[in-house]
Amino acid sequence: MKLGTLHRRNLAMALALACLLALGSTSLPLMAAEDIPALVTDTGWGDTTGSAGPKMHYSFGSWPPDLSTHGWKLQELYDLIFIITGLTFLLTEGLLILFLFQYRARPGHKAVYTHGNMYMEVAWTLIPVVVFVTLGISNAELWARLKDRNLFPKDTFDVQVTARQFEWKIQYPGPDGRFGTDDDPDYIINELYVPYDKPVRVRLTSEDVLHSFFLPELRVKQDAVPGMMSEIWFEATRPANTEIACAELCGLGHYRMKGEVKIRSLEEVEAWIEEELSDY
Amino acid sequence: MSTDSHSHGDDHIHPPPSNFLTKYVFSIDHKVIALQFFFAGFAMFIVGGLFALLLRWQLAFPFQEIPLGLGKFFYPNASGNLMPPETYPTLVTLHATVMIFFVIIPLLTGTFGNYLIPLKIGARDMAFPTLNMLSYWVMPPALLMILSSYFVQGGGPGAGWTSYPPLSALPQASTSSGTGQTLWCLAVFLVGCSSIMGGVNYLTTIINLRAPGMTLVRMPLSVWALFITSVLQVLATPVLAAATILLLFDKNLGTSFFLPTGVAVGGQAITQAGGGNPLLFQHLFWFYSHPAVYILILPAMGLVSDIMPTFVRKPIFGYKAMAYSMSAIAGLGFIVWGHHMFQAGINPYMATTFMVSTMVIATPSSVKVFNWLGTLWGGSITFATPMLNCLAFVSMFIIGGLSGVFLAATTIDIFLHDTYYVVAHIHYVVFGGSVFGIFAGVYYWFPKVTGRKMSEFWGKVHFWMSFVAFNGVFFPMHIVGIGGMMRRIADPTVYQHLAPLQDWNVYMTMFAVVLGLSQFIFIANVAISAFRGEPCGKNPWEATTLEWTTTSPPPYYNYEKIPVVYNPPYEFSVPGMEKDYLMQTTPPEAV
Repeated sequence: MKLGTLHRRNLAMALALACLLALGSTSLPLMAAEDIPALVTDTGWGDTTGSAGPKMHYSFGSWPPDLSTHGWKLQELYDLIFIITGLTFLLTEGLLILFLFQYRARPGHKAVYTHGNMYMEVAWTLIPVVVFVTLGISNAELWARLKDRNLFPKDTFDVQVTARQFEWKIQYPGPDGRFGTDDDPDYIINELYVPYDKPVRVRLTSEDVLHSFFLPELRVKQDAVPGMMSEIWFEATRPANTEIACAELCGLGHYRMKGEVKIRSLEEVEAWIEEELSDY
Repeated sequence: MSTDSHSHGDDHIHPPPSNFLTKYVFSIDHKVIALQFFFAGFAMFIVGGLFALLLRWQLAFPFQEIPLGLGKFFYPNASGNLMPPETYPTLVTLHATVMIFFVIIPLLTGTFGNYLIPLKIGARDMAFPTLNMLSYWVMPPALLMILSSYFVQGGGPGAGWTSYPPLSALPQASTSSGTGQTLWCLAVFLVGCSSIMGGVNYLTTIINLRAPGMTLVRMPLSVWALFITSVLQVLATPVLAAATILLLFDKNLGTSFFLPTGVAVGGQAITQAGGGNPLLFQHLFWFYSHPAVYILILPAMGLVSDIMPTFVRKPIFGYKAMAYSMSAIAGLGFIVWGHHMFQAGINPYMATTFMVSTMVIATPSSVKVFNWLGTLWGGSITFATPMLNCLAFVSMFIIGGLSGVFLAATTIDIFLHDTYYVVAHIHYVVFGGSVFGIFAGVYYWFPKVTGRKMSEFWGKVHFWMSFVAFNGVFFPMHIVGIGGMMRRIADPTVYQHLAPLQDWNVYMTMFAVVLGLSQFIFIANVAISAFRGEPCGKNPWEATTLEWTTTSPPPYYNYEKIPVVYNPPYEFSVPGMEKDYLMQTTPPEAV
C-alpha cells in the first residue's frame, strides 16, 4: 500500500530523469570530432605547433569549417569554457536530481532544520569569482590582438567595405596603397577577393543604417556603423569560396544581404583587381 | 512618524467601495490592480505567443503559406495568404516588445508585486493607492498603441525590440520606421512611466508600511526581490524613457542625436543636420535594458525562494546570502551593459572591462543556485505543481546562466554575437526562468486569490507539456547558433553555411506549436478552477508567511487587525514542535 505511492513517485522521478537524458542525448551525436588543419606558422601567434593537428572539439552542434588562422585559438577558449560550464552543469543538475530523489517526502522522513552554512557560502562565492574572472582574462590577449589597431599585423592586404541596404560595397586602394585617392578602382558589389597566407585588413563603415560584417568561416564579426570607420583583420589559411552575412537587423532585406568571399593566392587577387581596374 | 505608520490603522478600516466602477475598474485596491495586470499580461502573452508562432513558421517554411488559410487573418496588409517581406522584422520586434514590456514586467512586478507586497508585510494597501491605480491605467493606452502599430500604414515597428537608429529613426530606410515606430516609442515610454510609478510605490510601501516586528531580515525573499527590482526600475527606466524620447525627436522633429553626418539612404542624403552618434543610443538603451533583464528575473527568483521552502518543509538555505546576492546582481547589473556592444565598435579595452564585470556578475547568480540546491538538501520534498515549476525554474536558469558565460567572453562573442545562441540564452533565462517562475507563482497563490485550488492533474499535464516542448524549441537554438545562424533573418535557406541546419528549424517549429497549445490548458485550468476548484481554507499549503493568516480571498482591508511578527519567514520543521511549520505571527509563548 505504501509501496504503491512510493512506486509512483519513483516512476515520476525516472520519467524526469529520462527526459533530461533524452535531452542530453540529442546533443551527443553532435559533439563533433573535427580535424583542425595544420596552420601556417608565421601568423605571429607564437608557438602554434603544439596546438595544431587533429584535436577533439566538444560542442553542441558543429561550427562551420574554419578558414582563419585565429579560429583554432578562439575554439580553444570556447572548449575551455565548454568543459568548465559542462562540468558545472553536470554537477548542479546532477545534485538537483539526486536531492529530489533522495529527499522526497515519505512516511517517517523529516526535513533537517538548518538555516545555512557560512563556510559553504564563502566557498561557493569565491570559487566562481576566481574561475569566471580567470576565464575572462584568458580571453583578453586574443581579443586585443584581433580588435586593437595598434596590435594589428604590419604588412597587410587592405580593403574597404562599405555596407548599405542591402549590399556590400568593396573597394581596393589602387596602386598607391591609399584609400580616397584618384587611383582607386571603382567599387565592386558583393564580391570580396582576398588572399590567403597574408593578413587582410578591413576598413569598415556604413552609408545608411547599422549592418554587421559577419564572415562565419573566417570567424569575423564587426558592426558597420555610419559615420565611423571600424577596422578589423583576419588571415585566411587556404583558397576557398565563402560568404559575407549581415548580422545586424538592417531592414526588410536583411536576410538576403549576402556577399561572396573568394579566397585566392595573392597573385590571383592582384591580377583580378588589375582586370577590374582596366575595366574602369 | 515611523511608529505612527507602523501601528497605524487598527481603528481606520475603510469600507470597500460599493460602486462597480470604483470596485473593479478604477480601483485603488492593490489586489484588484494586481488582477488587472494579470489579465492584461496574460492576454498579451497570447498575442506575443502568436507572433512567435508566425515567425517560427516563416523560419521553418520560408515564404510558404500558413495552413488553413490563416495568412489572410494574420497578414491583413498582404495580398493573398503570403507574408509580405517587410512583416518579418515587425514580427520579431513585436514578439520581443510584447513579451518583455507587456507580459513579463506586468506579470512579475505588476501582478505579484501588487498582490504580495502589502499582504506579505502586513499592510492594508500600498503607500500610494491612487498612484498605484495610475500605474495600471497608463498600460491600456500603451497596449492599444502597440497592438494597433501592427496594422498601420507601412507596417508595424521593424527595427527590433532594441530599435537601433538609424534604421528606427529613418522612415526612408524602412517603411516600418514610420507611424509604427512612433507608436512603439510612445508605448514603451508609457510602460516605462508605469514601471517608475510602480517602483516608487513599492519602495515607499516596503520601507514604511511593514507590520510591527517585520524587520528587514524577517521579510520574505519575494519582498526582498521586489524591493531590489523596484530600485532598478526607479534608477534605470528614466534612461530608457529619455532614449525613446530622443529617438522620437530624431524620427519626427528633425533632430539628430543619433544620426551622424553624411548618412544617405539609397544614395539620397538625409535632411537632418547630422553630428550625432548611433552608438549613443545603444549605450542609453542597454544602460536600461541590461538592468531590465534583472527586472525580468529577480522577482521570479524571489517567488521561487518563497515557494520552495514550503514544499521542502525546510527553511531557505542561506537567507542572507540570497538577499545579498540579489543586491549584488542589482548593483553589478548597472556596470555590465557594454557586453551587448562588444562587436559594435567600442574601444576594445572597454569591452575587456565589461567582460570582467560580466564574469563577476555570474557569481551572485551561481550563489543563488547553490543555495536553492542547499534548500533541497535534507528536505522532505513533495512534488506539487508549484514545486515542479520552481524546479524547472532552477534547472533551466542553470542552463541559461551557463550559456551566458560563453557570450560574456569577448572573443567567443565575435562568432556568437547576433546568432541564435543569444536567442537560446535569453529564452532559457526569460522563458525557462521568469515564465516558469510566473507559473509557479500562479499555481501557488491562486488559492489565496480565489479561495479555490487549481486542478493538480491539469497543472501537471500543463507543466510536463510546457517543460518538454520548451526544451524542444529552445535547446536546438544553441546548435543552430553554433552553426552560425544569424538572428532576425527571415529566410535561413539563403545562406550555404545554414543549409545543414534547416531540419532543426522545422523541428523547433513543431515544438513551438506544442508549447503554444499547451498554454491553453493553463488558461482553461485558471478559468475553470476559479469557479469549480476545490475550496481551500486560509492556508492550504501550510506555509508560514503573513498572507496565509488572512482569509482566502483576503478582505478589502487585508487584515482586520494588523498582525505582529515574531519569527523569520521560513520556519519549517522546527525541532520540538508538534506542527512542522511556525507561522511568522506565532508569538514565542505559543510555541
